[in-house]
Amino acid sequence: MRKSNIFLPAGRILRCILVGLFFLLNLMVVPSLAMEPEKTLSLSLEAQFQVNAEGTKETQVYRQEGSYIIRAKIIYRKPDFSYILYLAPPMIKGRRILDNGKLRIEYIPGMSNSKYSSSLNSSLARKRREKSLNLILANYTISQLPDEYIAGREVYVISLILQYSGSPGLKTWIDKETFLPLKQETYNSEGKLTFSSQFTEIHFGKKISEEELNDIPKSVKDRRFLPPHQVISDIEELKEISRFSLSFPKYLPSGYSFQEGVLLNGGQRVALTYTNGLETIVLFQSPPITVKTEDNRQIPFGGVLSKMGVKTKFWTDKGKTFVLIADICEEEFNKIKESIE
Amino acid sequence: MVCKKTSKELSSYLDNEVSLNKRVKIEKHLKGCTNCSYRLEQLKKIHTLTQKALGREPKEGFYERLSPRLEEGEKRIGLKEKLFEWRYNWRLSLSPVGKMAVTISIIAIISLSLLYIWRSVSLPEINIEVFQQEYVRYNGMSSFAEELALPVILEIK
Repeated sequence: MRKSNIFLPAGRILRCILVGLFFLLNLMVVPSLAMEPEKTLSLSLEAQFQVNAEGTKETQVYRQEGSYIIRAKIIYRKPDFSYILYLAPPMIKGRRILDNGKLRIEYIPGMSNSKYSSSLNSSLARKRREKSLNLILANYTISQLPDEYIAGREVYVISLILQYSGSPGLKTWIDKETFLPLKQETYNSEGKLTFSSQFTEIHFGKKISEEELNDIPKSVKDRRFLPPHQVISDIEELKEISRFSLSFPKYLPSGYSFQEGVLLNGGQRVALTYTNGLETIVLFQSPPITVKTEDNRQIPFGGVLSKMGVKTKFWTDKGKTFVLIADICEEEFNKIKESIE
Repeated sequence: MVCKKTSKELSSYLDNEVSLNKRVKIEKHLKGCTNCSYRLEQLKKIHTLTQKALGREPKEGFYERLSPRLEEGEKRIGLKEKLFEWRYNWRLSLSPVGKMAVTISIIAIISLSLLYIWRSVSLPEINIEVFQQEYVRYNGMSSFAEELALPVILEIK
């Protein structure tokens, strides 16, 4: 009895410690095992800025006229460096895209007209991602499908289905360890597959210095970048700055909201962008202009042009020319047009 | 003194409007030059006739009758005559270089005016691809943008 009296408190303490450890372990392990798909999706948005990785990615583009494959070598390096070298098809082979956290440079060897834009990790891009995620969470039903393997790595499979129509919007395969999307399928408003991209091979942890990727001339990399367009997120500010009175649609398809206004060509044209998180509607407006096609054909007013799976409508009203581009049905197109004030 | 210079000053000589020195020179020249002497005689005749004519008073009511006829004559001058007059004045007024400068300026002003009118009437043209490229750019900024395809999609036909 005495003996047990001595050891009893010690046993209790040991048992308490074991139980405590068990709960602690549960707290650490269980959430990672049963992570909410929304959380996984959210982490995947910033994943490319948090890995050192090198791989080959293939994108299949599906069009009415046929499909084709784009292949590229991709390098990600923490905190915000990325490099894309196109390998196929032949007409774009050798082209490079470099994002150094400040600038995004699209460089074609032998050509002097490189394209410059803001980095994908700029504050503006981060704000856009945050807003898009909120809209995706509001407009799409996010569900997790059984895990799979992509390029030899275990992945979460997340599906996004548009709540209003029930049609698929996106399916993404997210690496369980790094949250980098390794495969992605994008669908249009009719639920048809438009893009399917996948890493055919990927290696993590290999640190690559920017100096190793010195195939873009220094003069191209060091060029001072001045944003060609003024981006304004506030509608009232946009109305004040615009050189002509702006018209806004009163009707928008379900789930869409105003993203930003862009003053193009020194304010001669204004683009109003609307998004539901995944898809974009762009309404261009300007004082009257004539819109022509690539072969210099004049497009009749109100004509609808389908290209790249999206539709373009052009008309003149209230002393202004409007160009509406979106992946929406004809009925929605007309509703937006008629609601413009 | 040469004939050309003398003949120009004969009229002034007759009217006593030349200096004494010049008068002596003209008379000296007239003594040896039959042509100039003949011209002087002719001028003297014209002077005499003019003096006679000026001495006469016009008939009564002459100016009253003349005035409406002058006005009528002015009205009768047609476009052709006016153009002729304008061309005559234009020929006299400017040197060839000046005429060319004026002509070029007028052509330039007319051309620029026509260009301005044409530009203000015809609308500026924009290729539809400019809008589509912008659309692709905005889509490329989407969270789940197709990072390989979107930057090149318009270039792959």
